[in-house]
Amino acid sequence: MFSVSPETYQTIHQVSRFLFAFGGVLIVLAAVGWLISETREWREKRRSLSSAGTIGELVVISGNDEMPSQTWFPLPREGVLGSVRSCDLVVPADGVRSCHLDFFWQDGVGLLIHPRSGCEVRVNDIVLNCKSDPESAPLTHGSSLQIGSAVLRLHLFAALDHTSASRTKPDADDAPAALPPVPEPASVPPVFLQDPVDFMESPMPPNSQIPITPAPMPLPVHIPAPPFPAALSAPSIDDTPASLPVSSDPTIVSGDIPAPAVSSRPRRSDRWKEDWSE
Amino acid sequence: MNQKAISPRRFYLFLVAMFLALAFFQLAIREGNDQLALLAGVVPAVVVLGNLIPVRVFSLDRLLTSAALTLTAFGILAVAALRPDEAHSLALQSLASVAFLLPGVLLSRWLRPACSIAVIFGFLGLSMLSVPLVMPYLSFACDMVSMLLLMVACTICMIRQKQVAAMLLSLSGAALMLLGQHPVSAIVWSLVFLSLMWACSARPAVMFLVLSSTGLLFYGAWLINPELLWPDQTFVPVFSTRPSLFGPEQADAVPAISPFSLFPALTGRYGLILSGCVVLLYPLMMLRSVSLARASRSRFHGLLAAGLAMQLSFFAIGALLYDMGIWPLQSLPMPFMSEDLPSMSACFLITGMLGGIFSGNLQDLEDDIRLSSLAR
Repeated sequence: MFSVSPETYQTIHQVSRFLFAFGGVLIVLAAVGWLISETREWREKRRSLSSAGTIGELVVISGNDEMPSQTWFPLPREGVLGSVRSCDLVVPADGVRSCHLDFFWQDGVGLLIHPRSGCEVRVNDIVLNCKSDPESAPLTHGSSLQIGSAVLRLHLFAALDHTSASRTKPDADDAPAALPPVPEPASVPPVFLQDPVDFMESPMPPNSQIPITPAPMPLPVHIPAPPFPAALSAPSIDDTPASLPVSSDPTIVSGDIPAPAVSSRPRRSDRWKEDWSE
Repeated sequence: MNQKAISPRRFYLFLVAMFLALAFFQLAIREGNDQLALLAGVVPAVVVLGNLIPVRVFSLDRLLTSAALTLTAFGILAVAALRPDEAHSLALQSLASVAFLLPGVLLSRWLRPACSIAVIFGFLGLSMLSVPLVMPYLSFACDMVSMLLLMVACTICMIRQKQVAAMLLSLSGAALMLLGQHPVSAIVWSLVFLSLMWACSARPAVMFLVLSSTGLLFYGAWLINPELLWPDQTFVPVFSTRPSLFGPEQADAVPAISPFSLFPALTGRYGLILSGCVVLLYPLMMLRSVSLARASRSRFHGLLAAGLAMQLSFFAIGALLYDMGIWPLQSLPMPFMSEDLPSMSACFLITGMLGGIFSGNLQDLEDDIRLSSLAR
């Protein structure tokens, strides 16, 4: 191995003192840039998958002013449900404690509920407390969960069986068998403030299972309706059959009824933004 | 002209490899040492290859693995500047420690929040702390490993709502560490446990119970042996003279020597700027670990990642404060920069576990992408 004279090495040392310090700063800057770029990339991936990490949603059947009906909560695989904001699912209803219950999804079984000490819930009319076996009453698609004064209904994603299959061995043949057991239509306790919303009672079947029976198409018959009298006010909702849309615009004839404006269902996180802005 | 920008990862690896090659080569021509010249090629190659092969095979987190390997390489560099003949043995020892990445990955993939695992890990952790008390001639320090086992057990207890069991386990571990004359380990473990308990269930009553019991434990230890937690003798900092920003002006200056950490040697040889930059890699690792914990779908793995990050961070802070003369208690060696084989192995085991949690997160994200494509 060659070596250099002490004078030459002293010169090299003087140069390298500053070079190494500069190199150290560059290394840290590169590491920071790496961390930032990877974090940004991960966030963009997550943003493109709006429902990433969720297995379905809990829809409010009966709530209160803070949590009106049809509000829906994205449901993670596991977490804590309670009334404080640190919980994964925040249900601000009477009778809901700060950390009321723990929940976790189990493939092939359903959503298991484990109430905390001193807390009770009803799963499909079955009362659960901290001593109950969570597997005795798993929540599946369409099951109802009564917690405090709130009644929620579980709505699972139809493709969830694929998730179950991917965690074990993917096998296309037994994919339908991996679906969680679908319960009988749940009888919700009579505490509704409104009629229960008609949800699908089972996950959507594949297209191949839907029988296609072509029916004879009737010829379209256009019956012009008389225009709405301008002097008359629109009929009240109470007088109108529920199946018919109601319009207050007198220029609209019944044959040209526009599609009702689809109002997006309130999401609980939207309310959070309002709360935080306050 | 369409030129593809170099990725931050490649830029970082290029910089680290160049830096290490130049630094080892400079030492080699000073000493005329063939082994140092060999290290000038081998150490950068291991850092780069370690970022390619195990990271690809086990889907590890590249940033964490690279930072850990970089810190280890800087430790070898510090020894090469201080004791050139021992650098190659430390390099071999570090290479053996890097092998613990694999058990860490397998462990984190295998771990489930089951009661049996909590019992086994808790028993093993307490046993490892008790053995030196029963057999004092066994003078090996494995506080980091036993702390890791206890943390897994406590995390499982917390997830399963067995807060009292977790608290008793934590107090037993801290008491054994105090009995074994490792007060800093006991303090670090208590801080890690309190943070985990706060993250898992921030109930005021539980936190008050844990805080008061931990405080009582340390107060009792202070009553029995005051010098254990606050030594009376005059504290002598590792740096007898104030180190310069860019290192000593004379090439043959002898850097400070600390038997516990290689950080003072690095500071004495290369100056405060470089050592400060090296220390900044620890917060980056912690930030990355915290983001792993936040991205984890499972609460158990999220809590575990947070605990591992806190354990590494608290040990780094304790060692740094001791080396700077601020903290009077002798801590465990600085993570990844020591000559202590159990400590190095435990650090790479932790890195492997964090890498396993990262690969789990990655698999979950791929599942989501596949599910969303199925939905379309």
